[in-house]
Amino acid sequence: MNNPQYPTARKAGLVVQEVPDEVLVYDLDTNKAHCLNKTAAAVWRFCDGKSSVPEIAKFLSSEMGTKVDDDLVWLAIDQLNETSLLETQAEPKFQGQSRRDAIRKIGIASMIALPIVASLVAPKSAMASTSCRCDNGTNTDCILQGTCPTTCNVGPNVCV
Amino acid sequence: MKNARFTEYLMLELGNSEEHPFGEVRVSEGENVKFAFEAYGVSVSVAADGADLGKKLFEVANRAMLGKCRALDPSLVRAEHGFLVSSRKDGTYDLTSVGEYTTGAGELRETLELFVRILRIKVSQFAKNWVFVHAGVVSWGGKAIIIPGDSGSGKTTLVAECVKRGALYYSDEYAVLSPDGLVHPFARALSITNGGRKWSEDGIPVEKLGGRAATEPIEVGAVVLTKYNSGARWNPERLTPGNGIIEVIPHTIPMTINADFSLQVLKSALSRAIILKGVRGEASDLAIELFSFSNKELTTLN
Repeated sequence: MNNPQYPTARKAGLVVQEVPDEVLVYDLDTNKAHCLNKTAAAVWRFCDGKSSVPEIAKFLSSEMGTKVDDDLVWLAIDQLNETSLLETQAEPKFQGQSRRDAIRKIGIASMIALPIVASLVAPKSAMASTSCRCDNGTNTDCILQGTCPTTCNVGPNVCV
Repeated sequence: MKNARFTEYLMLELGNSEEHPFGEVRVSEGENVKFAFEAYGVSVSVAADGADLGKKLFEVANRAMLGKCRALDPSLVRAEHGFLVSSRKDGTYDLTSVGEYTTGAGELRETLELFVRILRIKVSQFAKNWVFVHAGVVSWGGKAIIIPGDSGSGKTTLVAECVKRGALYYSDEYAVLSPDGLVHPFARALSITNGGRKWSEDGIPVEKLGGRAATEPIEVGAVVLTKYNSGARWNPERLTPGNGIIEVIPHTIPMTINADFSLQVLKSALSRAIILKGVRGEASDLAIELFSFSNKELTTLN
């Protein structure tokens, strides 16, 4: 079931919302938000732990109505892997220059958009909710602006 | 004034109180007073060693919440958040956010200010059925323009420039979103100082800038993700709804507390909005650009 040759989409600890042509995923463990474009989202959906990469490519071809290369699926799998959206971590197929080359090669040949997983980290809640910020250089002084206090007033590194 | 009378005073001052399902409470003894209120669905109790102090605390809380505090009967409430404020013999005050921390030896003004700041954090984090996003908000042509931003990103400056040029003012601090995706006014005085340290509630009323405060919720037309960069020219990238929403997530206050609800509301509010990202130069230049853009693009959004 958790064989990386048969990738499984992670479900636990995630909040998922679909928007037109994209899927938003919020990882409750890491406070990271991810946006999967249509191709990445489709690959993720087909990662059922029973289908191999060539099979996923076949499903994707059928869904998209055009031939999809295994390497395009691997590009998605690599990104899903890096963003911890798969149950089991696998060795990436493409890294660094190899990935750039693959993107160029697949991009030219592919009739569908390359898979993209964009990610951002949400700050811890206390930081998000304060309108003032501590100066990271000192950790004791607030960044002087507007009506913020001059020093971190509720503890180390928190200006409110 | 004893506790019961003080509570009665608050009830009269604020209108009807309703029973609250939080159960039993501890009421302070002696000259201590305890009152409770609710704002945006968050219940708060405050204990203070003196009626005058209690009254001041309630007044600043109600002002900070733009008059939306509703008094609760402290004998019926076990509030989600509690504050204790006590005076010392030297005339300074201790403020405790119950279960979290105590800060001490502040002047009254500093203590009240800190109380308000922490209260606002609690309400924005734990609001029921609302999602608070750190952002400036104005409306132009019947659609809201949301400007999320970290502290120091210049959102108040940009909001001020927009309202001086005729935009309707919603907030320089929070985009308050309801589950139907509308943004509601949180039209506090703008946090602009004329130099020097000021009480944060002494911002500039929007009317002094020649602007008007909104009173009604509105649909979101655009989100502007920007930072000031001296000399920069506004040439934004237009993001997809999904990429735009994840850019707003770091500014979404309850995200780490209630991710599911927050994401639903963000989707509801922003999936049809135009989301622009880019560096800006002077706020006055961007305000003009935004209005021109809104006149062309937002009026056709339905």
